[in-house]
Amino acid sequence: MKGLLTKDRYVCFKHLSSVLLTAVSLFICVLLSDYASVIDMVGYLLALGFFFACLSDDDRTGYSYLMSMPVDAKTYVVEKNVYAFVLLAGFWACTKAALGLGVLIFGPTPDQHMSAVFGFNTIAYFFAMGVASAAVPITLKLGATKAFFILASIPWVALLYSMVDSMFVYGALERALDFITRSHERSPGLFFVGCLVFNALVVLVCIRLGIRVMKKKDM
Amino acid sequence: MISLNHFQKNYKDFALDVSLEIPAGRVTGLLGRNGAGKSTTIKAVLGLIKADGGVAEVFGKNPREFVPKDKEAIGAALSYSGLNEQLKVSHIIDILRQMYPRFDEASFRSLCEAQKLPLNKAVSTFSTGMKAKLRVLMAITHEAKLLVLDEPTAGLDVVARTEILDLLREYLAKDPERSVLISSHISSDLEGFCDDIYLIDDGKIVLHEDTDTILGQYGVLRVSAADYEKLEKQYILGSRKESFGYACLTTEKQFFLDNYPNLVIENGSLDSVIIIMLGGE
Repeated sequence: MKGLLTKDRYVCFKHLSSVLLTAVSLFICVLLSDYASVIDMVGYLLALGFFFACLSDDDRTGYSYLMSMPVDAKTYVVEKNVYAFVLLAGFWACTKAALGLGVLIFGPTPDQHMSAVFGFNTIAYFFAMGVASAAVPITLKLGATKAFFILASIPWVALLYSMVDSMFVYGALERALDFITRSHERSPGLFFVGCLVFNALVVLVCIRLGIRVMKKKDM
Repeated sequence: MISLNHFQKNYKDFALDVSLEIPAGRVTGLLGRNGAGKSTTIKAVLGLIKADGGVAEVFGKNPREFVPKDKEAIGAALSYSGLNEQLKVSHIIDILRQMYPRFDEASFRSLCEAQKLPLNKAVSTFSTGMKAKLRVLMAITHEAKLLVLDEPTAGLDVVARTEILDLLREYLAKDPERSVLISSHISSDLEGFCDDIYLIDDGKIVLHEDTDTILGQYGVLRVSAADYEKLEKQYILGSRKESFGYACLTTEKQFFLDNYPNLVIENGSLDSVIIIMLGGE
């Protein structure tokens, strides 16, 4: 897995797609006036952009050679998840640092907003890991065009998922926690653990499915 | 070391059904036209495709069930797939070092130097021959017991092809137990390199023979149409109609030399085998 991570580390800087996503992010920066959301969005999109670069590279150069190396379906899917995690966690840390800098320069950001940003990031990096495992096997043997559209849709599907997550799943989770604790005094810690557990389950299901599909596919 | 027993793979417009055995210490060539099924057979050996029927075994195990440790013993060079060409050779060294515990970095570096492959240039800037050499170096520098090479010399000039075959000979000389499965449509490359040859056509093995037997015992009879009718056909493997009459491939050159002293009989070669077996009746 270490070799694959090294390969992805080198490859992700060789693709223009990441640069393109950065440009899109910066364009959004101009449109939005809320600097906190902007910084957060840039980090998130960049992480997904770099990740997309690696997936599309594997698709373009062919999985066959990779799979002839000491790599099996499980190693491949898990590595992609680890890689997504490292990228998103890294960019999350960078965006938080940038937000801190923003607070120093522009004054404090409302707590509520900071909390939302934090939740958004948590959802994002867990979800991207799941998307990774699901997207990799289905791009095999699809042909370059179809594979490109599937891979290119990852950042946008991830955004959609995170919106659905915050609108429905976290609401339901809050209500469930209220019911279990028989109190409307929500514990932020408990809520956060609930979010993590839910998203981790999504990721695990995707990993299992990803490995299963990949084992069945021809390279 | 490799055993395919009626390995079958069905595509919309192509069906593969091959059987082959490659023992340890053997260099086996897979020869055939473009689209004959060479790459699909290579994929079967590497476990890259799932069988629709039959059995594939490499090191006594189904290659689809290989764990990364099993794959460390295999070196592969594929003409249609590889690492990103924007990477530099120095990047590839880092990747191989972490992929293969037995990667011989010193040997890889010295071979790159000998083959004039710059370490700090992107592979995309290399010539076709340099890329092919790099692919082979990546396959032979981690102490693999088995090399699986798909068209490693395709599209190269005769000098580059010879250099690649020399690299492979050096690799084989280090350990007599090492095996190679090499596919090509260039018969001259395989003729001087392989111990035995599988000829594949339309997804099926149509001939398997030791190279020495082909070169020593096989012969091509050039006969007129009238002489062709009189020939004893049980020793004729295949024939091809030509402008003067027939070219017939025989496995018993000596028999015809002894019994048909007036016939024109040429020594067998892989080219003649291919032309008559694949282009004849």
